[in-house]
Amino acid sequence: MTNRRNSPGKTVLLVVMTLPFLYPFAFLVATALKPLPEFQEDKLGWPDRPSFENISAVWDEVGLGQAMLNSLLAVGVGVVVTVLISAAGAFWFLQHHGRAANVLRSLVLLTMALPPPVFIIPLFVLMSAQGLTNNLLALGIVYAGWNAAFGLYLMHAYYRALPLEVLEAARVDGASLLQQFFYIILPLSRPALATLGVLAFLWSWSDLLLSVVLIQDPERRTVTVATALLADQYSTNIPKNAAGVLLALIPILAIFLLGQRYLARGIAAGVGK
Amino acid sequence: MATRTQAPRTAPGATRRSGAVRAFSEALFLLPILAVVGFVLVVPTANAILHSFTNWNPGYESPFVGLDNYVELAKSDAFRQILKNQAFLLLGIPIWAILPLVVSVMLYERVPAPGLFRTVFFFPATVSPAIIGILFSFILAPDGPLNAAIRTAGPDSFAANWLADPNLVRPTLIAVLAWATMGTGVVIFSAALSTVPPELFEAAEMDGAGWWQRLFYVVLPTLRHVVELWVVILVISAFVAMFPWIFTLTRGGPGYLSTTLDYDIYQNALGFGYFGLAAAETVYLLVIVGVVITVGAGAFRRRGVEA
Repeated sequence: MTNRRNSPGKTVLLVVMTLPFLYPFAFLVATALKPLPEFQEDKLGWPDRPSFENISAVWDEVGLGQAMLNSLLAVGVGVVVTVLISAAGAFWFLQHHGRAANVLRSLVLLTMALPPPVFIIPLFVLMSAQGLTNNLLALGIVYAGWNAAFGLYLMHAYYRALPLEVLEAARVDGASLLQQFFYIILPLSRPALATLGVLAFLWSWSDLLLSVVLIQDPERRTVTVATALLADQYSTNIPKNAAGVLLALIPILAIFLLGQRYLARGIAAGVGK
Repeated sequence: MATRTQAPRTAPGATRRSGAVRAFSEALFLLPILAVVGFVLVVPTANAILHSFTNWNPGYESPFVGLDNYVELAKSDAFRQILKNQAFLLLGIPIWAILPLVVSVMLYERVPAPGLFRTVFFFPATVSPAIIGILFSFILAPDGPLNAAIRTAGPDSFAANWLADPNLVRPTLIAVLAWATMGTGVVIFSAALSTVPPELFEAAEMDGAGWWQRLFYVVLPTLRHVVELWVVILVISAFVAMFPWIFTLTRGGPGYLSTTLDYDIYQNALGFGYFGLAAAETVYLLVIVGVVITVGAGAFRRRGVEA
């Protein structure tokens, strides 16, 4: 803190502190690219001849490629539905701030206090009774329900800071609610929509509990579940497991690099879950 | 301009009708979120509470059993062990709070490329806990890199079976969680620090306060609300976000020594078919979360006012 001068000692200390955060990923890449016999002889070094055999093996044999598509479908539905219902709901609450509306909004926001372990078992029972388990679209809707309260909070806070004279003018000009929503509100709130989209993607993509319970069909497993269950299948083949983990990481890395700006903003503003 | 004021909605009869139409079309914006949240969160939670008083057999008759499930849990050794594990995990809170605070203060002082450091610390926080859990199961394996490093650096006897040793499994979990929570903590504290005027800290240094003194007597009070909020989030997470860690690292073992409430709910319902017990456990969890949130509500409110 204080006079904020450059201090080499402190910088060195910080660099040392990043090592435990970087090494596991280096180990992961080295292991995923190492053929099993080489790994059994040398567990720690960089592979002599890096090979993609583990990666192509888990992609095909274990069906991680399919799992990746399954995740994309469920998470994609989850993100789109989260963003739409949160933005639409927040638009309604923007126009209704009477006592009843405020109570209703607080009730929806209060569902942020209902974590997956609380609702997953009864949700599983209800959804099995309706034949909705093993259904990736239904899983997407579940993700939306889980993220919607946070989405409502984020969007509502953002809308309230918007210059709303624009809406007034549009109303006078005879713009319908749908027109106001799609042509004014949504374009104006693009940064907040992006933040919500990135967070909803990462949270849903990371989910293990909801998908491990709601999807039993191996063909429809999401990538997180498929990767977590690899260890059961190949408990002694660490390189294959590592290849699975590496594959599962790639979409997260892509979203992280694309959306880091929105992410940090979202977490700092809302302090996620 | 004049043509616009002649719109038909200005006719008095039409206004009332269009008012009803308007209320209805407005409701279309609200109903989707209410329906989805209701179906996914509210109805299931209500169901769990109702069925916690029954011998719940999904698809069959579920006889009312009063408080039997709650009593059975309270009497069970496994459940008591689970509560002890949860209490043990809370010992990690000071570590999970102070480590990122120290790092963000170091980044706040002038270092080259603070953004790069923040990225390195933050990236792991965006990765699925399940994925990080699997990665750490490799790192912590008996013949994994951690033990290899220990054997190279010091006596072999310090190498250990981190996840299977009854004395080590819970401290190891706390350490893994310290790694995993670091990034979010750094992002939150860095955002809060960026609003603090540097003069505040400079004055303290001028008065001769050392680094740690400044951390505890200047930084901590200044960021008090943010730290409180972070602690509330950590406490809640220690109860409701443990499943992916336990599933990938220990499966609750050895014995019940690392089983958490959320993992046991899953295990009771889907592993053993004890849905009624799982429902009662869910209610216990709900009560715990409710108490933590009520106690910590001030932290949320203050933060809400600030933001």
